Amino acid sequence: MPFKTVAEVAAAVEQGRHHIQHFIRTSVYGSFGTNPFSDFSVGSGTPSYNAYVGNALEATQLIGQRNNSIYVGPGTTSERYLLSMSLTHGGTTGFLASVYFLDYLLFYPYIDLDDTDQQFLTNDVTLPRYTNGEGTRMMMLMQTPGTGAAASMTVNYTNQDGVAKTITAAYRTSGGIAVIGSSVNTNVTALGPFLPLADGDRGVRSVESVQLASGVGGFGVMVLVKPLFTMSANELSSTVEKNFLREQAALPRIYDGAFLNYIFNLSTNTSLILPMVGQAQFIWT
Amino acid sequence: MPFSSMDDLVNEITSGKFNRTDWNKITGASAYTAGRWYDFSGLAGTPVANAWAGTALAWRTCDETTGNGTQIFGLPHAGNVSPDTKHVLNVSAITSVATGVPAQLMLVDLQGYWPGITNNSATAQTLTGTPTLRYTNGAGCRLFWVQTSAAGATAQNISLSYSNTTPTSGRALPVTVSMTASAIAGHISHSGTAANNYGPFLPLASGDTGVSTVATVTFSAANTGTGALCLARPLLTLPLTTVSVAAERDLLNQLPSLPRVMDGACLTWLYFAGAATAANTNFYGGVEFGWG
Repeated sequence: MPFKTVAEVAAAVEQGRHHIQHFIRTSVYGSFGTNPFSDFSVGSGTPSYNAYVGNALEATQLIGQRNNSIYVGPGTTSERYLLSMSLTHGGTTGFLASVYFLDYLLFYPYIDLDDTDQQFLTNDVTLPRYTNGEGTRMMMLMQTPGTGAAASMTVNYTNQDGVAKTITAAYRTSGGIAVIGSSVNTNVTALGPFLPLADGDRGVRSVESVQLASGVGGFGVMVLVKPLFTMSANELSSTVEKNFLREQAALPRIYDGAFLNYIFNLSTNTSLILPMVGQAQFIWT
Repeated sequence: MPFSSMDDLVNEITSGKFNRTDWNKITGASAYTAGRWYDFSGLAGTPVANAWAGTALAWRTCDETTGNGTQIFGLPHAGNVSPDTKHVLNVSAITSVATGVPAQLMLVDLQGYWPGITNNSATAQTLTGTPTLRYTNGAGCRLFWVQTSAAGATAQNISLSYSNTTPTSGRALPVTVSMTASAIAGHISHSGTAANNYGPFLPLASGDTGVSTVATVTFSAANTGTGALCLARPLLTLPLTTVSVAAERDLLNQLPSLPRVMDGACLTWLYFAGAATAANTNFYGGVEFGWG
């Protein structure tokens, strides 16, 4: 049941239908090039480290439970929304970051980045949320350290209408785990954190195969995500805040089982941006 | 029905009348020059590149679901919603390349274009087809020329005979408008910092507020190259000031305007290079829509 008025939103807080969750990251991994994105679900702190554990090349669902992602509050059968978010860049120097908050849906671990054969991915499970794939995107990141080399990568996937599609994109490996290879600027086709989609596509239901044009070292993990919103941490040691009713004109819907975390820009001076501290307030009808 | 109150907005978007689309584009092999405007629809990324399909000089309508009939290159925004009205709620954009800022992005609803117009002519080229527009008689719709293959080095001016929103035909540009010699593909080649450059849109005759169609295009001298004359309705602008820091704009609270997105709108970005922009500069972000 939706919120019908602003007063109902306020009432949710007043009546206790809300949860405030703090989160913090105190480590980030490896060395990086200029300004790629990295996955902060992989890191120490709260919520717990997301190691993308699963059987190689098999689709594995991500379901938010307790502390494995940003906890969204007690279970409920009503509708849940994100009311506000704050983020503090706690380091003393380093790069100023932007973040994408995501609902992580499903991943395919241990894609061998030295293997130039077509690697077929297994899909015994489907998307746990956004089940038709509408608005979901692919991002591939380093699961183990790589060499820094780049290769063209062909990805076969099923789009939001259930139609098989193919895209080709550049992927650059990194010596640091969690770095999203499609966002490394030394790629001439670096398009940002998410892999491009084929003509007319709006999302991805599943990924069927990955093939690299040349071996580049390391292992990658392909993750299907639903981007929820962006946020800028644009000053050192200060807090940026966003109230989604007053300052973004849209309350992001948080579905049951949402696995929330975020990706962010990096610099070469990664350790000095830490810690990253945040607070999220969830409400429900 | 438009949003009638904040309560109504909250109710509509939490009832599911909400869509977010995430886009990304990369500028390609040529650097951009400071002070010029460029078309992003022809760039690789998501949505796919507009390859300017169509018959030379013939109007080609663009929309959300079919693009130009060959490439679906507009930002998806969840389809038609009439009798509801759809609005942009929030926009964001990021570049992680230092030379990608300062810059400005402009979101436009591209009504369509006349492709395959040669720069290699000094006589009037007659355009064909009657534009079907999402705005009555082209209200608020503006023209811009996108170079679709690089121009040669010969200087040339552009002149038009267009119809305004009355519609009165035979309207002409009120000033001399110079194209850019050796303009690269993607350049809105009448924009820049040279004398008689105007951007991103071609200037209108006195009193005109929009364009409904164009009859002829004439260059003052023959040059090489090809372009498309585009007709679009500007919706919003988004300044990018700092590398890797998301430019974000809330169109309800921060800059109250809630730009309306018509059924079928073909949403694309135009880019103003505030600095020389390196080749292969990436941009990405999201646009959020609500309707009710």
